[in-house]
Amino acid sequence: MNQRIYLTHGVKAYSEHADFLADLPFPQKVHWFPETYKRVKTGMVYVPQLVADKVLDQQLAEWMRENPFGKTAFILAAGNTNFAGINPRNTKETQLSYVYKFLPLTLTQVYAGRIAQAFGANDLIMTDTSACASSVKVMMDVENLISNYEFDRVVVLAVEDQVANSTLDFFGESKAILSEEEAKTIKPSAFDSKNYGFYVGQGAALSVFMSETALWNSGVEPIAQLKGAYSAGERIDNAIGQRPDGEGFDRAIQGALHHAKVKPEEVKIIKTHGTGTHSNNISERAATTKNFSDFVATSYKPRIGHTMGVSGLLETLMLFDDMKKGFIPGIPNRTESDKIFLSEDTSVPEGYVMTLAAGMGNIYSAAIFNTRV
Amino acid sequence: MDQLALFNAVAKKAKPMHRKHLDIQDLNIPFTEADIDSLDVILICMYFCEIYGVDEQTAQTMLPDRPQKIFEFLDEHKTRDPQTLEEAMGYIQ
Repeated sequence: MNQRIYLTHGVKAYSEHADFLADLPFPQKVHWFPETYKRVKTGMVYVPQLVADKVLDQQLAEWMRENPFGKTAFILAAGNTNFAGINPRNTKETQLSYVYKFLPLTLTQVYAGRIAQAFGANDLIMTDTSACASSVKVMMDVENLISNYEFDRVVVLAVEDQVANSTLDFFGESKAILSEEEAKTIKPSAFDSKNYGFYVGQGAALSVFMSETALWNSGVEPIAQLKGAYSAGERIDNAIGQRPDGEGFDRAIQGALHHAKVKPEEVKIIKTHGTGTHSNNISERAATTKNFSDFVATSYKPRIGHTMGVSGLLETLMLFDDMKKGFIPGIPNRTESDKIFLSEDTSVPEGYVMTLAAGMGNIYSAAIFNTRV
Repeated sequence: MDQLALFNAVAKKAKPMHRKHLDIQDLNIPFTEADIDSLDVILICMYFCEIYGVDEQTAQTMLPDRPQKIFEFLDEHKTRDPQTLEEAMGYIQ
């Protein structure tokens, strides 16, 4: 029998503070926690772990460890197979360069194993490397584990090393982020005809998903019900490109609707991937407007930067917080009035939430939540 | 410097958040009897090498099976000698 699945805990860390890093090969602004780089040159502190520490709720970990129930899994949504901060190529020395002295902990699975045990989540420990789709893609794994493999609790930690030389080089080189020259006239935004693009941002998110049996037994108040999730690829030869017809998003959306047994007209709120790049604007707009006719959509990336693999879950938790406060936030820096891809805050319509994410390597993910639980 | 106190402080820092370190009372207790696993040992050794200024290549040659062996190794290879617990821990904060 398929169990209902509930999101029961959500802890998040993000930074609205942005600094311009001038000494990079591609100088750019980043949203970050500057203190996480303060002692990085010693090699004794490791940035992803310092960011993860901001969301690793020790009381929650202790509670889960001391109250075992059924089978508990741990998933590290890591974006990459190893944390990217290790400089993968011979780049010039920057303020972000460091050599971490604890090699084992640079491997995502070793780090995952260490954190999983703290939560008593040792029936399955896995990592996901679906790039920027990672933390939404793992919701498909959550659904699979609880619905088909009788797991009762799944802990998801989303963290990666976003503000790293390799990441910033990549986005600078591919001109995906706003250059300082562009930033004189352009502000980060999404689905806008004038403003566009994003800065890279640090962030982390921790969440727990429970079966309905585990929920009843724990007496925890749910945040939302995960109705269904799906991930898909698309037909394109460019592994860093997106089809303008939004095929990947479309497949993910339709898969999620099918698995959630939800009709398109029941989805009223969409948290878009919303990077604001030209290709994502076209692709995501095409897929969402094809599948839905009556909805509002927002994006958090113009506000907190693109937190890569973390972004899907982190932004979903931010949306749930905003909905609790009674509004869906407008997309920052929109220059035209828009009641769908919101230019202003709006009240919360009654209906399900869809959260979307896309990742390099042509991966698209969608998840549907019911927040009225 | 109280070596036992320093070892216990470093071991506490090295262990993951859910495993409490019970202070050892004897530097000759084998790690296997002190709930210190192989990953803990790697971290503890790196911390000690940082505290005592041992270069990384040399640090890789340290293969202790008990705390006493760490201090014997450090005596041979250290390039600095912190005088207080606070000073020592300051290098790895």
